[in-house]
Amino acid sequence: MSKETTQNPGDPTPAEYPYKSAPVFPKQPYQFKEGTPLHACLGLNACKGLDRYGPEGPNGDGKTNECAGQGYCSTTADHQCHVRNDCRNQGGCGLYGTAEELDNPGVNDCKSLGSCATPINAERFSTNGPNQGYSVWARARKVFEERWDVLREEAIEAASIHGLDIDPPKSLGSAPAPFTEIGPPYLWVSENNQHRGNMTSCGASGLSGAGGCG
Amino acid sequence: MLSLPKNFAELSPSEIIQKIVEQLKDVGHDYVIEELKDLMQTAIEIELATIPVYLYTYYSLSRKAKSGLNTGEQLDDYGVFTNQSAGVIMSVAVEEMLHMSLSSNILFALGGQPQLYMHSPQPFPTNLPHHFPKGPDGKDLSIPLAPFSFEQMWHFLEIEYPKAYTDIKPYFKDGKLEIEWSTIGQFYKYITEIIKALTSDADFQVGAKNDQIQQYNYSPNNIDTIYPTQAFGPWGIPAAQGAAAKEGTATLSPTTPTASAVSSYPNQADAGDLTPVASKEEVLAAIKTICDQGEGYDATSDDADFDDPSHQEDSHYFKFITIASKLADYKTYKENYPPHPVPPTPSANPFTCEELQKRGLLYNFPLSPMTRKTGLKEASNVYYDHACPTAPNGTVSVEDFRAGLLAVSDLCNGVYSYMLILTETIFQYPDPEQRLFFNNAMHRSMIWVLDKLIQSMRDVEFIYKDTTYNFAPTFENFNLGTRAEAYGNLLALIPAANDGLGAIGLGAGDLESIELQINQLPDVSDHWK
Repeated sequence: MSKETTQNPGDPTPAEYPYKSAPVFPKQPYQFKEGTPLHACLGLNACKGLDRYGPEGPNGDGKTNECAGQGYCSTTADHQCHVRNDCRNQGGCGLYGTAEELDNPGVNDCKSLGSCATPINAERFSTNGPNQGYSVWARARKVFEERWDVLREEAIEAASIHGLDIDPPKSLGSAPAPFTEIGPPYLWVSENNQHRGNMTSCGASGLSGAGGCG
Repeated sequence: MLSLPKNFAELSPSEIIQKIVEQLKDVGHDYVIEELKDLMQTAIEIELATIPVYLYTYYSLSRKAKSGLNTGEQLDDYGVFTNQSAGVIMSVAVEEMLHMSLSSNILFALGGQPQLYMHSPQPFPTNLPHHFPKGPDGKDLSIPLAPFSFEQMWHFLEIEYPKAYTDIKPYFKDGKLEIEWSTIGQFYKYITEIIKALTSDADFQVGAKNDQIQQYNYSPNNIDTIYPTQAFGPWGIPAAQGAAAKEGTATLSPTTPTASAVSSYPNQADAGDLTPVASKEEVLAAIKTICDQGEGYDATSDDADFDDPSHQEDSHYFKFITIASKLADYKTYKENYPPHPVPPTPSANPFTCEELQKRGLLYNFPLSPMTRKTGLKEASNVYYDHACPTAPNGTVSVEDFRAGLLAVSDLCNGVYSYMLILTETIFQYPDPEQRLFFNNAMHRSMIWVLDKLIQSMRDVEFIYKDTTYNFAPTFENFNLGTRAEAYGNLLALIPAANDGLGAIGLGAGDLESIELQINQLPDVSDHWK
């Protein structure tokens, strides 16, 4: 068998791009000051202004998200897979990992203990554990909501230690539209399937819902 | 002194095992424990022997077909079958890794140190350790590294054959009573009877439970074991946990369901877990997991299809015969299938490997290739140091091409061998530190080094005796020196592999990420000084 010649998987895309109202996906996450609480995906940010766009906001006019839980997409360094996360709470989850890990996306103790790629594309479902077959992003958001009191305390402590200008609220806002209930679709991340390198995910089955690494 | 059971040829395997276990009662406890340690090391080697066999066939299948045919909505019957076959083979390979881990835990609990480095079977084709030379079809049980085919699926069935339908043969070798097994199930039956009759909990408390391979290192399924059962819409969104239906929304691809809705999970959580052991009960449960997953929950009854109490996971045997039944040659081996589990009905529209290859779904891997022709007793048809390039004359010299193949094959074997050392080293990382070590060592080496290396290699073509093949892993024991020297010697293989990439048609990028990941593997030298 000779080397493959490929066309974009996923073509043809839906006739009308469904996420016209959303800002363009930023290829690289904003680099925040050291100590800033980072997160694995959309709707999991700890405070106003903390998301992939940084203080410039999605449209570059300084209008950032207003609240914890309202941010667009991940602030962690993007990574492809299990063990390749840099730090605490940065694993995306769903593809490789134990039942416990896959039931707690976005929650991990340290570098190399996180599961799977970030950001968590909306098409991704868990392959193992109680969330098997269900949306990874929806589970990540639920876990985030359940842990918010603890995460908020940690964010306040981090702000105090590192002199950060953040003030985490007591209650979370909704994840931003049009992704409020589903998380960031790969169609948006890849800009309507044009930039598949914006994120890759892992696995050979073709079921991870993002650009695959084989 | 043990003796052959009288008239053993007239006895059933169970009766032979009982007679030998009765004799063991009189030879002293220390002898029994040493015998048990030997048996568990053999168990480890049997489980280890299956892994390269299954992985080789797995990698011969392409789950990413040409032109995106294998991605979601364009998936056709052949694409689905290929993805299913690969997912099922990987699901069994994952459980063989579980079995090797469980056997290693039992040996460690007895006070032994599992030996894996340089213990992979070699050369292929091979029999399983301590097995009958003949298979259930009366032919030599000679298991090759081979691409996906009906014949190879038959070899898989021989490996997982139910124990109830085969014999065992005790004999003397060097003054020691040995037994030849024809199935893995019989072998574990013998171990089980020894443990039941002749051991106590204290025998399994020599090696600490905390130092054994922990439960949290095992997952029954992952993105490589699952497979789609039909075409799906790649842009569909799965439902949230707790939703009435898992199907989610496929509104963006209204004619096809979501990926989550069509995914099949070959392994189940209730089929067994990776448990550390410190009692007879835990050891017997671990062995039961191994046997149930291999040949079935109860291989002589209607439960024979399954390996779990909830009847959701097929045994290895039934997984493989189900795949085999969809191939055209299935009918010809009809007389060799045991009555239980009842063999599936042959497919009305069977698949052929010729068509798989034509569609770009099957790599033309050679039979049991070896890196070098050593002149020793070996039965390989293909040696990389005698291969020729497919490139037009003049673009690359034969010498450079062969040097490239050898360097990359050596690196692949070096990684495989280092993975065996990493596995042995897990027992030096007690819980909870073990979790981080396992992730960095095993997951990184398997998914980010070996997997990616093989996927790059298989796109390389070469010619051997007028046939064009794809470059495949050989899974040879590569001598990395002592365990304390191994990491340094593994790193030393990288420059030659880098130098050889161009000659075999790979680009620098094919090894760049792999090299980065090798550099991040744990250096375990200090553990073995």
